[in-house]
Amino acid sequence: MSSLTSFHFRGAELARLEIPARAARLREFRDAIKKHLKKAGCGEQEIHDVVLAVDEACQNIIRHAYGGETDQPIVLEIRRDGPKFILYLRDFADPVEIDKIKSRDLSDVKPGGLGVHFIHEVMDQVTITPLDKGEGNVITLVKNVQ
Amino acid sequence: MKHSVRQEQGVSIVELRGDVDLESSPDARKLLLDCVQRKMPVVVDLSGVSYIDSSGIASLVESFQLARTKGSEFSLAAVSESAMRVLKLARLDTVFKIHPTLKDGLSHGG
Repeated sequence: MSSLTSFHFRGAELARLEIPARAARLREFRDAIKKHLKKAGCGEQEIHDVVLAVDEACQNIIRHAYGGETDQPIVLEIRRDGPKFILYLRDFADPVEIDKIKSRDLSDVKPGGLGVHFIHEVMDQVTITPLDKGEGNVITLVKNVQ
Repeated sequence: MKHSVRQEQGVSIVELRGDVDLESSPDARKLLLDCVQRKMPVVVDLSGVSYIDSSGIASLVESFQLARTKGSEFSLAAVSESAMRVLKLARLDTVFKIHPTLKDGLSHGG
């Protein structure tokens, strides 16, 4: 993923992971992320929250960017830049329409629509970057650690 | 890990276990909704939940809302630390009736 010329990656790479966009593969993805974050010295709560954010972002990629399960890849790079953990999550779907990706009003208790809220709640910075046609999208998740 | 249902003291106890995620939440949803349809009080034991995501939370909310329309009791019990973190993120810790233990949930009839 770092070979992308149109995108600037920050920090030193800790790990690079890839799975097909399938629900049945998310558990192993979460376990691998946990392992790398633990090795890098993250606390339990930070690990839980980062894993939740990546998992929810992957679900959105599967459901919305790819429009359902597929063998198309989801690629994750975990990087560290001083006190920041930066996670770059890339899909190869059509460019997403950022204006359509919103949190919803939580006072309206109803099933669904919580994923984007969770991501923004647990991460310090969230950016979605649609790349050039055919190159997919990159979600950048930043977590400041103590 | 499989989710399960049993009856005790006139209450349906739904025990969710392991990861309640995009892969397993459809099974959890079906179990929960089936129990609520029976119009018995339902207590959901979340002590064995190691991870729950928005799809798992959506199953709980949908079941809670169905129970409310039927006028039956629906509550959570023994919520694991991981599940409580996510309920709080969703601001649902004040919406659901939550019992500290399953025993407490049963003694309150769900």
